[in-house]
Amino acid sequence: MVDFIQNCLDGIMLGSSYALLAIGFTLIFGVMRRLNLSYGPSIMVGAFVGTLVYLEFKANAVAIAAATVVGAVIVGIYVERLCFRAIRRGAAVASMVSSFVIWMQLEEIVTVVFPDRTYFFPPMVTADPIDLGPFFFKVENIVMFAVAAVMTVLLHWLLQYTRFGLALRAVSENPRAALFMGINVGAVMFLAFVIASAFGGVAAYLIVSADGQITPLFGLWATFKGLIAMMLGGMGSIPGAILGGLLLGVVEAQSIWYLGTEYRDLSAYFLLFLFLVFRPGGLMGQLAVERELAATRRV
Amino acid sequence: MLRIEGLRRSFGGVAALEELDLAVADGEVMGLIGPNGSGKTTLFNVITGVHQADTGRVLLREEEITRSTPARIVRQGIARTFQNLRIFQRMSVRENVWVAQHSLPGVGPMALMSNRSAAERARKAEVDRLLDAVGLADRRNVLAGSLPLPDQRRLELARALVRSPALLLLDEPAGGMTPAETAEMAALIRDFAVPGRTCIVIEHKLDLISTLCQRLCVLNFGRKIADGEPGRVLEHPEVLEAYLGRDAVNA
Amino acid sequence: MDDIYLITILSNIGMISFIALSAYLLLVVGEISFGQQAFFAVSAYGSGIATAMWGWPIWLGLLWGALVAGAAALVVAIPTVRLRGLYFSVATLAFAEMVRLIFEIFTYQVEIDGELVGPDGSDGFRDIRAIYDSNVSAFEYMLIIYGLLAVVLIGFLILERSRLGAIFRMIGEDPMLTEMQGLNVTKYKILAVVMAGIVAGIGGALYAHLATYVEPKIFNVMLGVHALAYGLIGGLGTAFGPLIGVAIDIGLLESIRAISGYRMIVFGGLVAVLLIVRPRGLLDEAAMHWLRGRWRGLIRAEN
Repeated sequence: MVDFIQNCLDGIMLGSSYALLAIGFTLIFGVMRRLNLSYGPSIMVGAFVGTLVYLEFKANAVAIAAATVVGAVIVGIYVERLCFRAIRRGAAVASMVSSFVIWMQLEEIVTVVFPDRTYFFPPMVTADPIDLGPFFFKVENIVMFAVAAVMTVLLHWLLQYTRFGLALRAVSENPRAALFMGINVGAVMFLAFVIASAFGGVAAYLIVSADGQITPLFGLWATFKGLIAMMLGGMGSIPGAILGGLLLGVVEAQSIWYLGTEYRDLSAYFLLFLFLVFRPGGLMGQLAVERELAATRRV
Repeated sequence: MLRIEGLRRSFGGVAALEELDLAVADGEVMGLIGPNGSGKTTLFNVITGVHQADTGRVLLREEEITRSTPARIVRQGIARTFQNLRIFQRMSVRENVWVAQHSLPGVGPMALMSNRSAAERARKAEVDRLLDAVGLADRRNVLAGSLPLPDQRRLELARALVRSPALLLLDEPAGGMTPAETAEMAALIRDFAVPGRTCIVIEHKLDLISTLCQRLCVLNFGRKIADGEPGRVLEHPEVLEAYLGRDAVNA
Repeated sequence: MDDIYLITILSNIGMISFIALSAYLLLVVGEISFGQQAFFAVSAYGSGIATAMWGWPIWLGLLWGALVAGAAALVVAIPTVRLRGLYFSVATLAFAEMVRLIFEIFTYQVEIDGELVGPDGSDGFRDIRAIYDSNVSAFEYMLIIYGLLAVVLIGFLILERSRLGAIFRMIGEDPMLTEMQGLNVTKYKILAVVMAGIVAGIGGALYAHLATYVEPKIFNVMLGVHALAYGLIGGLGTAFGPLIGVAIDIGLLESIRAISGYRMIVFGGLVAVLLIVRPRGLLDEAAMHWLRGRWRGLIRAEN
């Protein structure tokens, strides 16, 4: 029982990083209705910008984190311009494939600039794990969880209580109607992309600094963890992204403990497959699916 | 031919069709009118299985088709056109008509793969004959998406007719057309689509209705408010009210 | 030496073409699959087991691999084919990753001539030696690859002109309208997924025997997404589209050695720009329609 609870706690800590990745994903998807496969790779580039700042200037944690976020946002803008803005509406597949080839491009740029593949990434804190009764917590995990919680609250405020948030919700509900209301849809999409990239940048910093190292493969990892967490929670739903991320973390932690490391990803994909077949809307998104079905059945 | 009993269909609490009863006899051509949102297209959608009825029954030749899939309903002899045009834009005009034959009886697995048999040649000849009849023969190799709107409506008509349906549902066949084009379309439907089959026509243009229909049915808020010979129906007070508003009727 | 290099590249182009055609077929019915590599993998293992462990002849091993891949596709298709859009894509991704991760732990070995043969989890599956044991040269094997590719391609070209091919394109453009032509869309989609599985399977079986060694990590999602990209680069209007995509990527850029280290930087940028101008690829439906019109015109002019 103690093991099970400890696994749940570990899973929630791990899951909070997945949740951050999924929030970025779901923001972009909610507004664009297109999948950005380059999401992981662009925050991976951000993390390498952080590495560069560390290697060149021996900068402190705050500067590295800032560099990571700025790098992720700049690359995010590049992806938005090239793969989303420039491709006309209705060509969602083209956008997706375009974001995939840009992923390949980003990965190769990173391997050209950083030929050693694996680089040391400075941890944000160095402290011993904290014991609490029979359970223990790693400090970096607690920080990760706290930052994820704060950012979620921040995002909630932004979406629910600001004019920009209202515009963003209007665009994700119905871009055409939003356009007729005088909302600058392009600008809203652009800003959503920037916010999502910033979220991704923070997530990247937290995850990579907890790992203590970075490789170009982080891009693939981040895209797929974010995608799975988003799908589990329900596409386009922010609470869904958080719940999906936590669920994914807990399931992975339990599988590692009870089945072994090699079953970690297998159980995650198995869970995803079951969800898609039996509850494609995920934890929160059933309504969204029905709306989409209604739209495709519209005659 | 078609009998509808107690049909109900609502969308999220809003009733699009309420307790609708309707019977259409063999060979009858019925006009279906009503203000926007009165449930006309919903009725077509329920008949063809695109939407499921909440309650009530739809019978085609006394056979229940209420819970059937669109594909099966179409194979039982119903064809339709669409108010907001649906054609395969990335296919040629000729292909758009040809594809409607895929599920005709006699098109088996072999015919799906080969197009050299005598039967297949006959089917292609039928496609060309229909394109000729609707006046699209000279543009049969054009991509359908590039046709002007009146021609797209003619193409939809040809596609519906190639299956020789027993019941033809036309949803605003002259929508968006000029008066001259409307008259042309009305003549085309009268001479070519109507003979030998049962038709229901949704249309706002009364001259088209009066050219084609012996019977007119009026829907408002999903209910039938009048049904009968066109001249009389149009004088019915509830119909005038639905179209012109209460004040106009009282004045 | 150079000849061997050329034969290897050409053989690779041939084998990847199968998986590209497989992803293309699903793009035609309007579905994006991230998971065609799963059928490639299932067939690579299946045919390898058949020839190396059960001692079946090569041709039977290839056939078996394709059939196993088709059966696997049927198993995926039945629960997932009703899912639309991104849901289907992610379901195929989840399935393919499951297949890869199962091969990471799948061990099935027998002793042949004092040596253990068979898949050994993440260490892979060695010694699929059937073509070397029967003295097929690299060149001859390349001819086998292209022979089979030609057969599949002719199948696609027949399909394109047939009613069945039209049904696939109809579903890709408007499933509801297709249903309204009296066609059971679900049934035809399952058929398309199974056909795509078989096509990918042929490629996988050929791959296993040329490489003689397969390991699970080859069949990662990168393979599947590349396959997808090829169709969209070359164009969705014709089965030559994916082949053009493969040839551009592997052929052209691999052969220009000067940029081989920067291949994806150049290629990625080029493709991104191409997709802005032509979102359905070089030879899209409109382009093919135009070309066919010109072709008809030429024939008429000659008569």
